[in-house]
Amino acid sequence: MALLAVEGLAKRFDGFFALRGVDLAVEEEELLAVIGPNGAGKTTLLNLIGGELSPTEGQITFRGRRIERLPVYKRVRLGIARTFQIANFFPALSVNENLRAALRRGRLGLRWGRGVAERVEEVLKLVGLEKKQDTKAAELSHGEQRLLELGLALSLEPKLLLLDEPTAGLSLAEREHLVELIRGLGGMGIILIEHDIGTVLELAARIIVLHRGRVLAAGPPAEIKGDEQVQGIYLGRSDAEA
Amino acid sequence: MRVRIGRLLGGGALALACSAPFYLGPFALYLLAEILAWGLFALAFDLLYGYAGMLSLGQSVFFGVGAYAAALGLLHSGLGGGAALFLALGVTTLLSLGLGTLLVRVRSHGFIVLTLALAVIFYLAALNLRGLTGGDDGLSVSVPLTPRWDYFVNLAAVVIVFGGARWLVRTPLGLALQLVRENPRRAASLGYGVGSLRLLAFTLSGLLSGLAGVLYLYTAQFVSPELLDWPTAANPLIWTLFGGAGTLSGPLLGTGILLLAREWLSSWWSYGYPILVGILIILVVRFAPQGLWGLTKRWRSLR
Amino acid sequence: MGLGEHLAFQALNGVVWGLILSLMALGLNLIYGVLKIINVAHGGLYMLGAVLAWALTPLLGFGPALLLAALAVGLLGMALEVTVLRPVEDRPVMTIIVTFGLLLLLEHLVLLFFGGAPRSLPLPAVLSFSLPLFGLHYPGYRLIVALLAGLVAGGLWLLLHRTRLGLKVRAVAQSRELALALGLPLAKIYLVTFGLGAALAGLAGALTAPLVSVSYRMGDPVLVSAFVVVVVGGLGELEGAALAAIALGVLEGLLAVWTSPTLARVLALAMMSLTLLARPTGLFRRGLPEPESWA
Repeated sequence: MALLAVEGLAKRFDGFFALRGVDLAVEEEELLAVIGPNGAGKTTLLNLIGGELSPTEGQITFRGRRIERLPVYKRVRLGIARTFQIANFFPALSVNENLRAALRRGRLGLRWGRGVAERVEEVLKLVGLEKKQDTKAAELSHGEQRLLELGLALSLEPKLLLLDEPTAGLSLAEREHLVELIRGLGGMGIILIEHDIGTVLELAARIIVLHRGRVLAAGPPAEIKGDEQVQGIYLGRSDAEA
Repeated sequence: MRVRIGRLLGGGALALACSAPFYLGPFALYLLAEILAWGLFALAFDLLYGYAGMLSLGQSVFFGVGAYAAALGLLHSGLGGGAALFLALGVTTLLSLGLGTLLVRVRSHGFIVLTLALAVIFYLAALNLRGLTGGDDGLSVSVPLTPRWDYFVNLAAVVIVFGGARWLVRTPLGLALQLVRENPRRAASLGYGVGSLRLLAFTLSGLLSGLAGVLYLYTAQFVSPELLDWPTAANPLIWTLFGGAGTLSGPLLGTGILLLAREWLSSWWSYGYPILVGILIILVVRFAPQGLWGLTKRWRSLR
Repeated sequence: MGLGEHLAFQALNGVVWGLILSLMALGLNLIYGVLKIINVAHGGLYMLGAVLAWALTPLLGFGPALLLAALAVGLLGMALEVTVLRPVEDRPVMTIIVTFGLLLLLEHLVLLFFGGAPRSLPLPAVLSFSLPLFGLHYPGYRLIVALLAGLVAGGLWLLLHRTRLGLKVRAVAQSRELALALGLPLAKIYLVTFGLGAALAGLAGALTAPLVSVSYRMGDPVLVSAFVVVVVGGLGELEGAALAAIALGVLEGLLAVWTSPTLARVLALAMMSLTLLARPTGLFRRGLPEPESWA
């Protein structure tokens, strides 16, 4: 049974379909990359899986459970975590406090006690922000903010991690660091939205190409790389940039 | 250092407040007792706005319903003061729970307008249901409390609620509320039940507003539909803003200062107070959005 | 009056009132759509329009007083926008608070200078006629008000959709960033839009002055109705607000056939509020749902 299965997913906004007839599946511990030009519907897809939007049609099954009608917080407790395209944290709190916020008990409160401090230390070490743990989140550099984003999602110990363009705006060194981090993540399925083809080819076990809300192509990196349609619309441009 | 000054001031204020009945006359005590009741209302408002981040222009509904429920309990059911209080608290809790369930699903602008509409609806309803509420004549009650005892009751209520609220906002639950205020989207995606937390805050605020309403009733011994109308709901917003939202002590301070100012101004310029408040609001929002408390923080951090 | 006539009378009243309310709602929506300001002072601007009309009619006659009142309120609006509102335009909750302060000031300054007693503005004889309509003699002035309100609303639509200024205004309402990038003069557009919105409120007030008693608090009930209508119609949706306004007016009017006016008002407001619960973003809201924000 796949970790996540999406069938016939569609999302309509007042007259236009952001997504239509989307099918995909993610296995446990597999990294699926979703690529496509701007406006193809990638973030909408993530919002649908994460729970911020409900689908107009279709179903989403996570570990055998239908989740498309569940609110965000329930999906988080089932084991889905996400990062946001524009880093989304608590700006007035320190990095440490932000991560503590991710460790909550039930839906009403935070967790307390020694276990929490240790867990926060672990995550800080994992993403590499130990030295900055008392800095206010708003004062972090762009790259550090992205690491915090990832740290927040990882603190939730997810089974499915949704990453929305995690390397956007990063320097080469920062991007490499993040890619290494992601590569080292185990024990979870990952859906990665990315613009940078290099990153995608490095990390993805499978790739799905979205175009105008539909799945244009799906398969392992080698296949996608060689697909002419995809090259024309997307890879061709990226190659020119690279 | 800051905590100690705060505690000293707080302790001093409390000592002063406790000794007041021994050198103040009944009218002054009455005024202070009223200020305390309104201060409690401001605390209820601050919990909802300053801590949970929800701006409601309709908390007057719970204040007024609390007052009316207690009044009706006293007048028609022959209840004693304590029983009427509990009746009123029960009614306001149920009301805020019920309304809150509907309201917390609505986004910020809609929420604000709905609470506004709610206040107007309740106000007009109270005006119309003369049989129940006495219409714009209102209801008079007599409560066997001397000004001195009434003052102490209100003071005790404020101290207890203030203490309780200060404790609450530091608990995991209180912190979760503030997370929801800071970034609801992020909080939801970290697994917090944003809707449930908001409902909790709304119900708590409604309950405390109702309590404030009952205390006001016992002090003023009179309730009228104006207490339900939206200008009454706007007052704690003004006091809280002036004192500093999200600080608990700020709203109390703001209420005290502004109501004393109103009392003073009304003796020689009856239009003065609203004009003062209007100008004050504009100045505060422009230059000191954190209120008085924020100013003192800034002053302290500069030294 | 038989039931049929009563209903027709009330329905007509409702349409007239709804059209006036839609002027208010259009102004509010315009201000919100372009400047992202939730203008609580709108009720005060309405009241000011009525008060100015009352004050100027003995000197200039009703027609000119009407125009001058609307113009003056529009200019005041522009002055307020530049001085008081600029600093808070990026924070919606703060705009509510600041404009509330403005409302207090407007109302109580008027109280100071015009006194608290409600005044009435008698109609000039030429306008005090009635037309036979649906078996009633319906006051002609009200029909003129409805006509004027409709014309102004239509004129506003033309302004927004057929002129270059209107295009710029709509562009800013759609996307501030894009407008900036295109080099549009944001400050000027803000100024003009707020002035226009304010003038609409002032006009609504001036038109209503002969129909109700003019007092410093007359804007309060209108304010609440206008807000409910705007939010129900969908913030920023001009046509939606106008429709919702007329719906509320007619609803209130019809309900008043069976119950007292205040109860009719309560019921109408309650019904509108319920639609808001069913469709939290408004009935006619277009575009993508915004993420949760309580800024």
